[in-house]
This record gives sequence, structure tokens and C-alpha cells, in this order.
Amino acid sequence: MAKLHARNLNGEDYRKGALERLSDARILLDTGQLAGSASNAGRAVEGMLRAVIWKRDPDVRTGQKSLVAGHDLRELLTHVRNLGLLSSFERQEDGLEELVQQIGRLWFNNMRFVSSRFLETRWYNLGEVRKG
Amino acid sequence: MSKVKLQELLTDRLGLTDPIFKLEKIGSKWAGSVISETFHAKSDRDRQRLIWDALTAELGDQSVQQVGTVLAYTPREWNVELPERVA
Repeated sequence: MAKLHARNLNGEDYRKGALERLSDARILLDTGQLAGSASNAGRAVEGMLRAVIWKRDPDVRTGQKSLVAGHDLRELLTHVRNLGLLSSFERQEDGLEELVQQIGRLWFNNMRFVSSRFLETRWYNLGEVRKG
Repeated sequence: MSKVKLQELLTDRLGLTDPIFKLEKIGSKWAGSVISETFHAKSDRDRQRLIWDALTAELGDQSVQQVGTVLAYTPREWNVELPERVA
């Protein structure tokens, strides 16, 4: 039997995976599956951040540091400025920092376990969604 | 800048009520989250503007050299209470 060799995910794996998760999220949203859609959209953001970290951090690229374990999305979002995605000149104007703040506020790591009803109620209570 | 100094700076400048800080050093910059009821009813844009206006006022151009992304939450946003068991 052929032996399977595991390899670490690289930046391209993370990027392609993120785009697939984003596509999945769209399909789920179109069919009214809010929790599944939000969960997959969060994974897409996570994958994109991991792709950028892989590209920018030589220790990650050479396998000296691992991205496989740990780091939920909220933690990864705090790496954004260190990745060079925000410059001192455009931090207030490009809106990226505001979007990062919004994702961090709405995301929680147990999102994959909850029902759409739970998520709707939580986001309603946070003032993010309205009835109707 | 020390973590304590950064925490004091944000607490004083923003007038934070009972803040909880989750900061870590990433490379040469402090980054992470700050949780306080003070952020209630403030938009995402306002929260980031408050934080960076405070940092810039205190540290000037050095702010972006010493501090990375700092996200602001209310306690309700930070804590997600899931049902402990499924019936």
C-alpha cells in the first residue's frame, strides 16, 4: 500500500481554500442558512489571513513556526497591522481597520456549533440585524 | 513601551470602565483586544478612531511603530454564552 506523506499547507493552499469557503458561504446565504454561511465566511477570512502570514513570515514558510494549531479568527485579526495591511497614512481612510473591528465583534469561535436562530438572536441583540 | 503603560494610556485617555486587556507582543508591537462597557453603542469606526486618536495623542508617529491592531469589544460582544447542554 502506498504510504501517504503529509505536507504542511502553503500560502496557495490557504488562498484557494479561502476562496472556496467564500463561495460556500454565498451558496448557504442564498439558501437562508445564516449560521453556516457566517461560519464559512469567517473561515474564508481566516484562510486569507493565513495566506498572507505564510507569505510574509519566513518562519512560517520554512516550517519553523506552525499555523496549523491555535489562533482563532479574533487572534488572527490582531495580526493585520503587523502584516503590513495597514499603513500609518491610510489607516483611517481605507476602512480596512473598521472592517476588521466589525468582523472581530461579530465573530466567535464556537459559531460553527450554533443554529441560525442562535446567531440571529445574538446579532439582533448586538444591533447588527433587524427584524423583517 | 510596556504592556502596563499601554493599558494605562488607553484606560485614562478613553475613560474606560472596568477594562479587561488581552494584549500580546507580536513582533515589536503590542496587539490584541480591549473589553469594556465604554464601547457600548459606539460604531466600529468610532471605536478604532478613539483608540488611534488616543495613541497618536500620546505617542505621535511612534504609535504605529509600537502598537499593532487593537480591537475593542463590550463584555457582551466578547463573551458568548452557549447552552451548557443540549436537551
